[in-house]
Amino acid sequence: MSNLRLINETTINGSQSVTNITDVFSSNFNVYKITLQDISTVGTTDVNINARFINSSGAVDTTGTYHYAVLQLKSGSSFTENRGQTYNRIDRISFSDQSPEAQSCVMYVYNPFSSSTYTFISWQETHSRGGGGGGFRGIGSLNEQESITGIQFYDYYANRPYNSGIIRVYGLRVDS
Amino acid sequence: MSLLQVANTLITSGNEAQIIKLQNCITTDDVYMLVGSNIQVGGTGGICDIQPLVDSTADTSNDVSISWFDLKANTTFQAFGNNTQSMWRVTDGMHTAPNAANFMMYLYNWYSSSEYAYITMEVTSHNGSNLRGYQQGGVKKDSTSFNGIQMETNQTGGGGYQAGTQLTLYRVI
Repeated sequence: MSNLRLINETTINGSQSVTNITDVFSSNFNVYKITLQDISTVGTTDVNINARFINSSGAVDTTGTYHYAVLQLKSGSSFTENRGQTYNRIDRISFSDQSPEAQSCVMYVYNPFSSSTYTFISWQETHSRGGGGGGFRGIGSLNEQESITGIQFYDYYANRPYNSGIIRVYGLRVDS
Repeated sequence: MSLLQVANTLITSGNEAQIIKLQNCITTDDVYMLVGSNIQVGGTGGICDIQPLVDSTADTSNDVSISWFDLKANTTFQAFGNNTQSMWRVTDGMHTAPNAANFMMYLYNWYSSSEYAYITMEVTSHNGSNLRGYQQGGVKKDSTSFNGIQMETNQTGGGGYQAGTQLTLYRVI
């Protein structure tokens, strides 16, 4: 049996600007792999998908204790850097646009459930938007010692919803 | 993708260590995935390095070529390359808990006795002041067959790697 265990699969099949993946992080795993695949927008304006964590009380953590750094790779121009400290979200998890333009992203989340550690993430992403390709290489952290049980992905602009895609959460099982 | 765990070390209280060795666990020509979780040291300012093992002995020859891009949350990113070093650096400027380093690495051709050994890594770490992490690729220009890996620190505070530090190796099948 693989040590990579599927925990949750969320299919996006209706227009939405916020997707909450709840009750996926637990004491069963320390490291998680999340894939976001084929998310595409309702309209023809591209979207910037951000992320926030959801704590064990079910609340989305919007405190300004996120840190992130992301390199944006672009097919048609110079790469750019984006960063933030004491931020209220993790920016640029993914870009997307209307199908057939879309995106794919692989993300790792480290020690979210522990209330004695910070929560860290890293991700690699590729997308097509406005006829051009690109991607992200990013890292982030939530500098709070709180138990995290879920993650929220959302349309940063709040008016560029998406209506398709699949998000999968896997746990990396460690056998002692 | 399927993963098969082949080695794991979790540092426990009272068993802090400056070197963690995963020995005799690379036994095929498959790709291996190395996961570092909650890596923390007992004092500030330490480094975290990776080196290949032949049985219990680290190969410290200066034949490692690397290039990395250091993502930083507080300032301009940094690019770096070097052709003659003895290890792969995971991070430096380490800090005590709850600050920590975490990483995902893939090891290619480590078991082969005819190919060079390659590595890719993505690191996310916090040094107490800032979030940073390498996006790194590298090669050890040596066709030795390596059957293990070690992670070491020069930080002696509290005995090195602290309880909760975990290093796990999976074979990708």
